[in-house]
Amino acid sequence: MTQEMPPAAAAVVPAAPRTAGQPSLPRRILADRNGLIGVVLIGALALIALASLVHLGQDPLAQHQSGQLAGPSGAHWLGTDQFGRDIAARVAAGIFASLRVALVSVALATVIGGLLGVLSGFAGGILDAVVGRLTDVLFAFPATLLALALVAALGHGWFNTAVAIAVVYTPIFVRVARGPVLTVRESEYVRAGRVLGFSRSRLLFRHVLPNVSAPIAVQVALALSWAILTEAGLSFLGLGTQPPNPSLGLMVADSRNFFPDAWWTLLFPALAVVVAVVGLNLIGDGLRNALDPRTVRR
Amino acid sequence: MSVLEIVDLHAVVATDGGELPVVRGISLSIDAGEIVGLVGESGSGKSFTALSVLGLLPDGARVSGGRILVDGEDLLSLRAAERRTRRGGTVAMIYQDPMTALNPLMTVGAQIAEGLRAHGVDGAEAKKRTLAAIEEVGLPRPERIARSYPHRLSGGQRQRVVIASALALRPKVLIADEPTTALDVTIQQQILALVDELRVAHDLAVLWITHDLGVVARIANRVAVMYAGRIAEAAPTRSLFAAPQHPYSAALLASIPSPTDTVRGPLPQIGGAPPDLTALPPGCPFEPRCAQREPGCAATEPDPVHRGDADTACFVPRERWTTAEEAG
Repeated sequence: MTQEMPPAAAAVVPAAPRTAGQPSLPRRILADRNGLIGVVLIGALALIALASLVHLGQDPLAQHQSGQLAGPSGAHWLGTDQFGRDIAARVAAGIFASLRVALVSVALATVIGGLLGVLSGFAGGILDAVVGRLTDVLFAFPATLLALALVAALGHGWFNTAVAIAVVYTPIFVRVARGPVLTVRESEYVRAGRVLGFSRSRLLFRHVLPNVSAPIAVQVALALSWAILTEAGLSFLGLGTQPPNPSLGLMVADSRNFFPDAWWTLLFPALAVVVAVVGLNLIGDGLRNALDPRTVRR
Repeated sequence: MSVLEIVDLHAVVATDGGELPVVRGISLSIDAGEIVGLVGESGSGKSFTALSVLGLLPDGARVSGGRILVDGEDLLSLRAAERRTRRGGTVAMIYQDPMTALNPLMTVGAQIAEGLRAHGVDGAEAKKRTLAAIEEVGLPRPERIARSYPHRLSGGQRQRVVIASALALRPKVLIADEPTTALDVTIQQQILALVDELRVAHDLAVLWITHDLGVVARIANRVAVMYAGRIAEAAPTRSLFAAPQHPYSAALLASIPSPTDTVRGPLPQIGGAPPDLTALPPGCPFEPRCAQREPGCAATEPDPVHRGDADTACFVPRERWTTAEEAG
């Protein structure tokens, strides 16, 4: 489950102004076929993750001595693992763990990376040079390797995992935010703001930031899916969530010894990862289409 | 009395080969209620002059000498923060391309109001003055326009909004950087008429930058013709068009096609190219292209002298011109 550093969101799209008579952004995402499928998939996963919190089904940690590696049944919908634990409950809890790490890590990367990128693009000069070189250094490491090293250094725990993934993805947000800022900074309306005596912070937060938010928003959706993959990869390698806590990556790793006889131990956690990644990518597509003024609206 | 007074302004741009003189000693004054046209070809320094007044020269460029007085206050001696409050507050500007001069994500009303609020006008008052400003530039139904996003407005409407935004703060000086170039001719006329109206209403001093002599003839009281970073000739518009005192102005005027001209054939043009600012000749910068040049012209650069109604930086008085280009 190793991966190369994913490319930054391809096209820089200008934000489409919202106008009277045009549906709001969420509506436009839902009107996009990809966006709709993505929202449904991720919505379903989110519900399952929430259900695991209130222990609607089985306790994910409870071991049932009688039924180890039992196939799907009425009592255990998705079967049990080698310790007789309920796979449905463990997948649900694993989804929660994955989403939590993904959301926190991407939130950190977006805020820190986005802010650094916007500031360095807007200010230029020494700040831009320093931030640029730092991102180059971070980019030089393969993503998973860097995350591995960071987790090894920081220690286990979901928050440390999130921090490690955030560090890996911050440079991407720096670049995605910086590029469009360079264009918007030179636009006539920003110059006009200067001529009107606007302060730099007013120009930055009121005029530049809103106009570069579209590519950043798309990047968030894509980064969430990579973060889920990275978290699963780290757990698979034993550096993410620690047993006995449930985690999708760890479940896939454990299943390697059993899946020829007990396919359900591999299929369901792997399927959850796939659905999460596909769903988030589809939301990213839908978001891009919804924000792209060139998209023909039906 | 002069509202804007530029005294011996010098501006340079840093390049790999040292500092390049872009503005080389410009003096210009504009009275309240007066429109001065600043004419010149690309690279003559007219935009640099305007940006110096605003204190918004691009990176690497700086004012290297002279004074810029607005109402007697030297802008160049102000600290950056004070300078900013003058920008928009006392000196405003309108631009070439109204299509991109407005933030696409904000309503027009919010943008005008923002300019007011940045200068300390509170919310309710800003809203009131925004609507008044929109009404003043002749846009119908101000409330509706204020709620519109820029892409819903036409080019002419947007230019009116830009003007409303510039004038909402009641500046004393308005710098117009070719604000009609991107517009249709009919809309151009409306914008010219509007600026003229607002000049009278608010006693504005207007610096109108353009390379369109037709626009200058229509709107300016006086004209300054720039060449290679200096003012070649400054004169009342009427005198300049009737009897230019500098061969460069004469050549510019001769190259305008006239609708009544019955003569067929190519338009007169000025041979050669503007001088390279990295290697200015010791003499008059126009000398290599000048039809009236005399032996002494290449030796020293002429200082402005008063001749007729004009101040002209030329050694050769009109009477000595050979007829070829005198037609002007």
